[in-house]
Amino acid sequence: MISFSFLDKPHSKIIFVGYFIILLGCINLLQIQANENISIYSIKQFVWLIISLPITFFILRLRLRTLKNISTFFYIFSIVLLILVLFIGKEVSGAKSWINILGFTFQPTELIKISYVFLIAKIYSELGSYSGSLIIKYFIGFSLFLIPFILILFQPDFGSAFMLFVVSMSVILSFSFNKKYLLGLILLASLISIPIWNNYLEPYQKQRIINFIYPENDPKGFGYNVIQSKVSIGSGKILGKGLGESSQAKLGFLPENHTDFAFSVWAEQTGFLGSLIILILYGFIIIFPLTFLKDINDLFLKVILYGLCSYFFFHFIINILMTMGLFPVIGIPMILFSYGGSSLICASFGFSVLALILKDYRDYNRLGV
Amino acid sequence: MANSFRSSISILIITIFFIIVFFKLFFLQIVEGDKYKRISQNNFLREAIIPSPRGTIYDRNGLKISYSRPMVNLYLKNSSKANSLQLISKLKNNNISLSQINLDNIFDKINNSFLSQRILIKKDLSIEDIYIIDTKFSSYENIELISDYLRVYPHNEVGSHLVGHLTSNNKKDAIYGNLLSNRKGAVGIERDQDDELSGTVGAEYFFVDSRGDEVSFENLNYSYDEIEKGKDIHTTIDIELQKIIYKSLDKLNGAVMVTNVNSGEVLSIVSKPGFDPNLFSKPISSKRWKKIKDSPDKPFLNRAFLVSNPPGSIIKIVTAVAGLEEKKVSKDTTFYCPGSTKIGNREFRCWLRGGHGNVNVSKALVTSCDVYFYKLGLRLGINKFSEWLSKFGVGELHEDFPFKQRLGTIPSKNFINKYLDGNFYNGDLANVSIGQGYLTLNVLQAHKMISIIANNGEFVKFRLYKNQKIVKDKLLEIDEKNLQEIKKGLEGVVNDREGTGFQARVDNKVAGKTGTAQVISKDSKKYGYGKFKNHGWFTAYYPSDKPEIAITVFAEHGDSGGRAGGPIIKQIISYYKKNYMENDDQL
Repeated sequence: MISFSFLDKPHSKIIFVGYFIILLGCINLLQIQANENISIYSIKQFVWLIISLPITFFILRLRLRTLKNISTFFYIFSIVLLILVLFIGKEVSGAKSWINILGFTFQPTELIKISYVFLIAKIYSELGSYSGSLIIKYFIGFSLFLIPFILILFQPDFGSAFMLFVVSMSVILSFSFNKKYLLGLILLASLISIPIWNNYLEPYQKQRIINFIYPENDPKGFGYNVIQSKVSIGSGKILGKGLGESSQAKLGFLPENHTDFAFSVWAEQTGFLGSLIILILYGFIIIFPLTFLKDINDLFLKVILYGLCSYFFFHFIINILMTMGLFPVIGIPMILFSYGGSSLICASFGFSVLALILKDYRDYNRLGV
Repeated sequence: MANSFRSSISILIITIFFIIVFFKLFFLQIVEGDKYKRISQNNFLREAIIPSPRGTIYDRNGLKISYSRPMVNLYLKNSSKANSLQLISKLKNNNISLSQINLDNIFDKINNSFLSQRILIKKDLSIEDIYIIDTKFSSYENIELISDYLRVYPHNEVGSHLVGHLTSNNKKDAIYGNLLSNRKGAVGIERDQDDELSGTVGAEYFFVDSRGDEVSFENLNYSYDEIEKGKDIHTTIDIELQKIIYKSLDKLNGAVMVTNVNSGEVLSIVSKPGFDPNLFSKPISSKRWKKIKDSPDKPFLNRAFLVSNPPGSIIKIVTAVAGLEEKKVSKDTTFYCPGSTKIGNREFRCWLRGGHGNVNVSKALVTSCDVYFYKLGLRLGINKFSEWLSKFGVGELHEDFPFKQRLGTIPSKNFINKYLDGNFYNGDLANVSIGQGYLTLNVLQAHKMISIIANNGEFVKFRLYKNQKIVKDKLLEIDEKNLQEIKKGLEGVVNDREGTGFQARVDNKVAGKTGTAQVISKDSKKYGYGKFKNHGWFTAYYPSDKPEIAITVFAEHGDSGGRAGGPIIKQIISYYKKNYMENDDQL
């Protein structure tokens, strides 16, 4: 008998669920191509899973203080990559977002979302929690957000920029909440968004947003993806068509079926029950760490835990809403579940850090990191 | 912000979003699951139809009037250019003649269509070709043999208006393009019985990817839909008689109708000139169609129903019946015919310059004395006269008969008020009394009139199909003695020395009435001598003692009804005697 007693510990649960989602993602992608028994995406994703395992074990052995110490460097490293990608990046579907390091292609935008959380956690914890520092918190939080945000818009990768935006805003607003500032922010955001719409958004991105508001406008063009995604999900019915039976993916009706619409393929193959399993697993990995928030005294750990949870939440929820036609198709894959090496490495790094915090937070409750 | 508050509000927001996702999933996959399943099937499922043959139309003796002949077509499927070139040359090497093949056309189709669409290589393969393909090409996946059905009319133009023809259905099959078996009835019986005759096509299902290319997709099996052959139609038509009539019209154009007066069965309805309905079994070029349509003979015009003409003297039957029934004259009342009579201040002539002397009603019918009927008409008055015309069905639609009909006009009150400002003079009345002027009818109506007389006032509706019920019209009550008097006259028309219809004489049992419709056509001068001639009518029944069939002949520019129609009626009756009455003789 295999003993599951290791699952008694909270951090083991997070690690287990995280890898379980990745594994389901691999299974989901097994047979999505018409002419191959096992799709190349599934194999590659499995290789990434294997690669991420030692990273997880390495992180679980780190001391939390080390994380704090590397935060600044981590952030600067990500920014450097974001600058580099503008010069030596590889262009994929209109965006220069891929960088080649030692034979691996990597998306620096994935890294910045996590390193931003790290740096902001460090700064906030050092500023302490007295109210006079609120304006400083805002200022620093925004500055550190705007630098990568603008760099990403230069690529231009609207989807990733948006994700960075929601993750950093959720952190900034949760840890420096003030009604007046919030209203001011919304005003400022709307003022900024007009020149962004006019100058920075690519026509296809504008089209996607317009298309979101009026999906029936263009069922053959931009609306097509969403319609086919809904057809995939809906046609799975209760029990699904069975693994390897996704006609929508296999016969090419559903585009981006290994990335943006991986969940639709899963829903088609496994039905409502399979979809529920995914919902429960993500619900666990997002909500379970949050229940520890009140037990953690150290602000650095709190911001990281909160930031990572919001990182998982937004990536999951925006993707799943997107596949069901409740959110514009902004090109965000389902974190952990969709195909993609950079995203998988960063995400497994993310939940490994979450696990590390759940494992060791008590050690720092009295003296701090 | 307090720790516990931050964590609970976050969890709350997250939970709300998860609940939204849960319900949306529930809605998509469970509430609307069937709908999306159907859409996803429509995405990849394609239906290739399996043609089904149309039913056969039989004549009363089981002879085929119209049937569908199977033809095997060779199609190319899922083929590339190179592939198809290789196949075509291999076909040629195996002595399959592909003389009409247009390679450019085929390449064009390969480029412009989905791979799952079939491209026609050769139509109507011979038995030898089928054998070769079946044996030597069985391993080739890129060719396909499909049976289609060609509609065949073995009697060509003989029954063209009656049987009808097919036309395009505008239903192009997505896979095979135009299939001949897809055509539908355009006119005649083909149209009337289209629902019965058309079969249900079968279907074979296969899978396509998002580009429309055919793919094999294991684990998913869809059954074939069986074809259902169209139903056969058994008509009352005697196609041999139809042929004889068509031939007997010889150079004349016109229409002939033969029915059984007791059962209403239609034995023949001929309209000449006809056209070859086989032309419409395939797509016909508009040039060719126009050429036939615009030909001065108007072959597409069904002269039995769609042409109305003055009835000429055959209407005297109605005038006579009306006069006797309304008691304006008795059977013994005589009028003196000096060859003409004055009405108002105009001289109305009888066709016989010398006059007929004293004539009573039966003599007037026999000799077709115009003066008698002028006078009778004037006694009758226009209202009574048109009332009786209506009773005989003149100017009225023959219901339940699957043909468009042109009704013609009768000088009813309505007509007079509407078109003649209420003015109808005695001269006009005299004219319509002998079947000229403001009175026109079609062959069907003339035929109904004689059928009523032959069947003693009881009209049995015309019917074309064996399984149709016999429907009798309301009895037209005519006094027995008056009827006898009329019949005596009609018998005299054919059998008397003075009769105008002696050309139809066979065995003293033919009765009928001839008529001549004056042609006062603006364009008659354009044509040669023949086209100046009047139209001839002859309507008859047989045998006179116990009538079985009614015959009506309308001969366009046939000059006189007797001369043109007489010989035709004679041939019809000879045929009828031989084929329908021989047993009676033996008994």
